[in-house]
Amino acid sequence: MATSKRGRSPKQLHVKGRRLVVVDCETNGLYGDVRILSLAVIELRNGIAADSKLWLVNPGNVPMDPGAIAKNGLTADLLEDASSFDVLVDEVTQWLTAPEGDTLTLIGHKVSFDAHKLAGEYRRLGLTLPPLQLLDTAKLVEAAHVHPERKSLEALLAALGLTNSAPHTALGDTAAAAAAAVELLHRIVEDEKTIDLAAVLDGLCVTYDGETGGSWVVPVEPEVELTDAHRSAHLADLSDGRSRSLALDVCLGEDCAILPTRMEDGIITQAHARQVTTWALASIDADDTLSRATIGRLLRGVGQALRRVEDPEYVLEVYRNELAPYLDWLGPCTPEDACERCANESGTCDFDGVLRRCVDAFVQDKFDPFAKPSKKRASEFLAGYNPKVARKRGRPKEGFYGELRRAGHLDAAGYGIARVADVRRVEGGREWAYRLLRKAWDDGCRTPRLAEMLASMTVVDAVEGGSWGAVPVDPKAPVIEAVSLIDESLASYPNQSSHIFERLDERRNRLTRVRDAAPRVARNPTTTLNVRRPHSTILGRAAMPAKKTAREAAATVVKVAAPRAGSRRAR
Amino acid sequence: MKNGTRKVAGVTYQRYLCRPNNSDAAHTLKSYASGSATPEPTPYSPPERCPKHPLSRTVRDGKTKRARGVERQRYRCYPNNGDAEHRFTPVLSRLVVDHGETCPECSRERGVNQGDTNVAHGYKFTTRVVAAALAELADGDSYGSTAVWAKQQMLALTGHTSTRITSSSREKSRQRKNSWRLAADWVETFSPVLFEPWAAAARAEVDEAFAQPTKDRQVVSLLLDDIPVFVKARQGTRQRQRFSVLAASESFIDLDKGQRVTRLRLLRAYPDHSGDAYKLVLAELGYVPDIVMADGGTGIGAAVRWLEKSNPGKPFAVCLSAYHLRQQLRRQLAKLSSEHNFRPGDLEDRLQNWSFSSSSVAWHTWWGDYENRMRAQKIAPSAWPHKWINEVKPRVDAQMPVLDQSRVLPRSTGSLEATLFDIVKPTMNVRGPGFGNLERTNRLLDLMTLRANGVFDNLQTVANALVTDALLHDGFAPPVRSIADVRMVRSLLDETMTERLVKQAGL
Repeated sequence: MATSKRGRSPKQLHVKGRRLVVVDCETNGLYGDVRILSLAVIELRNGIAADSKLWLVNPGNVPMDPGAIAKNGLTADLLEDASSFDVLVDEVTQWLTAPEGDTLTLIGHKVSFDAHKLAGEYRRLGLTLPPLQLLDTAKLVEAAHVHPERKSLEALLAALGLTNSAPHTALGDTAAAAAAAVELLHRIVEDEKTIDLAAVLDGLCVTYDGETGGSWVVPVEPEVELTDAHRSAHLADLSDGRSRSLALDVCLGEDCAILPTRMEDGIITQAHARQVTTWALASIDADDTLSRATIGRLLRGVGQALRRVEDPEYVLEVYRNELAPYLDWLGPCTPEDACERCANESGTCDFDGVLRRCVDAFVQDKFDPFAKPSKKRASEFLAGYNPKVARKRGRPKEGFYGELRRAGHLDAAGYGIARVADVRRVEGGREWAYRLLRKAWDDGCRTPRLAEMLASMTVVDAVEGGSWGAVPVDPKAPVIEAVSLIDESLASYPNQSSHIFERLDERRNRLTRVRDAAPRVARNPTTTLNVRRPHSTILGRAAMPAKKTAREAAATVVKVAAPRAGSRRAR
Repeated sequence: MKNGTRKVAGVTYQRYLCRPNNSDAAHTLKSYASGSATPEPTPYSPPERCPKHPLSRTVRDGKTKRARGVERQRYRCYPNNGDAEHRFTPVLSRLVVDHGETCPECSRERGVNQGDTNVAHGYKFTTRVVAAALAELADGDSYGSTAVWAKQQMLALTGHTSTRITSSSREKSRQRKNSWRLAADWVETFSPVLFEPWAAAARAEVDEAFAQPTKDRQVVSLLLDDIPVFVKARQGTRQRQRFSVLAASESFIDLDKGQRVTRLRLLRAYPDHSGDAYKLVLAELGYVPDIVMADGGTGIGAAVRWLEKSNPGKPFAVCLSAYHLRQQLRRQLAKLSSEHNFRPGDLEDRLQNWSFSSSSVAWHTWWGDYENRMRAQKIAPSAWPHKWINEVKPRVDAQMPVLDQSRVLPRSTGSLEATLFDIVKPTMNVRGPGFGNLERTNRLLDLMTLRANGVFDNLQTVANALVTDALLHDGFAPPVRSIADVRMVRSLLDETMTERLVKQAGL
């Protein structure tokens, strides 16, 4: 069970009129005839796990997706002795029913998936899922102002300082989701001490009706008429290299819509990821007649594969040898572009996602979310550019940034600049970082992270009109400029919903409030301010030393080491 | 009629409600409760005056206490010019005094208006604690330990602090690490408050000596010396960098007291002890002495030449310190003894008992004996210290008559060396690696200068100086952290710094 912080009163999470049940299920796959293999529930009372239950479900003779088996470890042999859902349905129904007058609230991470699968099982037996309400952890995350790196359960737990002792098992994930939900509810309550938790939950929960869908929009699963060969390919064992290549070849030949997903399903180890990447790139090379859409799908799959590879050198090698030639051809992505690379939920171009991964590989020695980019590699990202030194004559050396920018991949270029600037900023080169960001901004990079950093530095360092260190005539000028930067970035990504955009929205709202606020007037006008000047100094402000460059430092050493003319050493 | 009881400062009072039979409003009054011990009368102390209505009547009126602050005494003013009555806190607010509270310094009972004053507006520490902390720093205590000590003093005074007394060495270390900024800020803020008036007074005394009629004028001698401080360039490396602490001590006859005054006048830390660094020291002293006494260092030599050049109408003598002269002569004797079997006889003893430098005659006698013995023992002329004889001896010959004229003045920088080794070196040996900010280090050295001159012997004087300065500026201290270095830069270890400072000062 995941652990949560102690020392909080459980009573503050008492919600009258609701039975809170956390749920998670493991299935035999994501598409086609999806059946529940394992179901776990935990009841929360006053923020404490009061009761729990785990069921293993025998799905009968249904195909098992090897990718799912690799994750949850539930094989047909293991479930042979388990009861089928029709035997368990009464017990499950008891768990999913609230006492008279109360409402059952099903909590979970992406709980709509679980609810939909449960509704499917009920429907198969000619029954109806009891009326209930759903509370997704994503809604709680939003209400608690938590900003996990990604939308996954692992990222949420990491953001809350929690751990999952048994990931990809029904009970383990349920316990983790329960701990996360309790922590988030605590944070919501602590943010506003007088908050009415019941009213908050009323606003966050959505009604789910297994039959009609209620207010919840039930995700539509793809209904594809598959040929026999194609169906066999979808059921093939993707853990075996040869079998996987054959299956993916069939999917490619059939122009399968879920080809990227199948490619991802076949990746269990890093070696698989490399094989899938090689296969996809070889397929693109071998067939000149592939449509732009198909190449887009293959590249999505490559992107998924590269995310699984933990070796930056390999990712860079793939980029240099295989992806770089496509940079110009697959230039900037537009909404009208029919490449199907923008089909993911965040709306960003998938090829840009792949390039971001390559940027990470370029600036980092290893893929670790907590590892800082290497300073040397970060400098090489924008080779030949130093904001403080005028450009020498001749064409400057082109770094990775230049390549990306020339090909129009401003999203990935801006992402890299933000990472490089982050390193510089932390290590004392705030002005350097600011000029770097400003250059990328002027080049057209409008990524949210870049806009966020630029807006922050514009406000904090009181930069006016892009000139570093200038004290603005109008104290609100930096704020106005920061808001316009954020607006421009948001306008460049109109249909975004990831956490970084939520953060950007929050920052914009905050800055707007500052911008629109009336000038602050002292409450007590008789209060005197300290107008005393500092003591005179030896150094004086003009002589404050600037940070020495490596060249200056080397020159100093030489100066010290060189013997004086006429001294014994010189003679 | 009785109207309940009230407990104030440990004493229970009986309250009464008075309903006057005329048209006056009802009011309460109080007296000591029967059965309660009658408190002894506290010594009278006048209440604080209202800054707006200094001639009006004021009485104590509650106390201020912020969420994490310290209780301060508030007052109510009844203006005598028709203004509305109002509450106020004095410019330098005072701690609340409970009945029977005694002064921790003199153990006498305090008046209710005699709480410790705040050192300045916006500070939560009292003047007494800050003065004592500055004395600790002048003694060489670290910023961290002094800050923790000060916080614990406030804990004892007010029961409020974020630093608890602990016996755990790890916890103590953590407290020091987290608190050093406090003491460092005090050095930055309050050291000039104490040093600048003292330096001005010292300068006035020297100017007074210079202003005497020529026939009565006393000679002012300036002693110069320095010590190197070695620090590690970075944590975990063996590379060493150094900075230097330059010291100037002045010596003259105080005609009022009728005695010689020799005092440490200035300590300065600079990245090196070059001519530029000494130029800055001489420029800060601001006068041309009659005698400059120092070792034969090249830095001092360059600075002295600059002083001569920039003050052509004010000649002065440059003397080699007797201590360093003895060192050089001993080295010569040792070399001659080992290489040419020279037997010095009593020459060594006369060096040892300083008789060789007591007068011009004694010096010439010693040198004559030295030459005679070399000739008698047939030391080859090539073995004679010709370089020294040509370069240094003429200077020594010239300085001796000058020193003869003012026999009470020191003939050596020994006293300055002793001060450096007693006061500066022990601190720098331990804390040297921690210093990186040139400005703050020099302000700390100012405190050490004050300590060497006995300013911290009476903390009341120090506290009074702090209070006077704060009152002159509406209770405010100078702003802190106005001398911070640029990030990642340690100005004290920047080898180009002295050159830039000299250029900036136009020297």
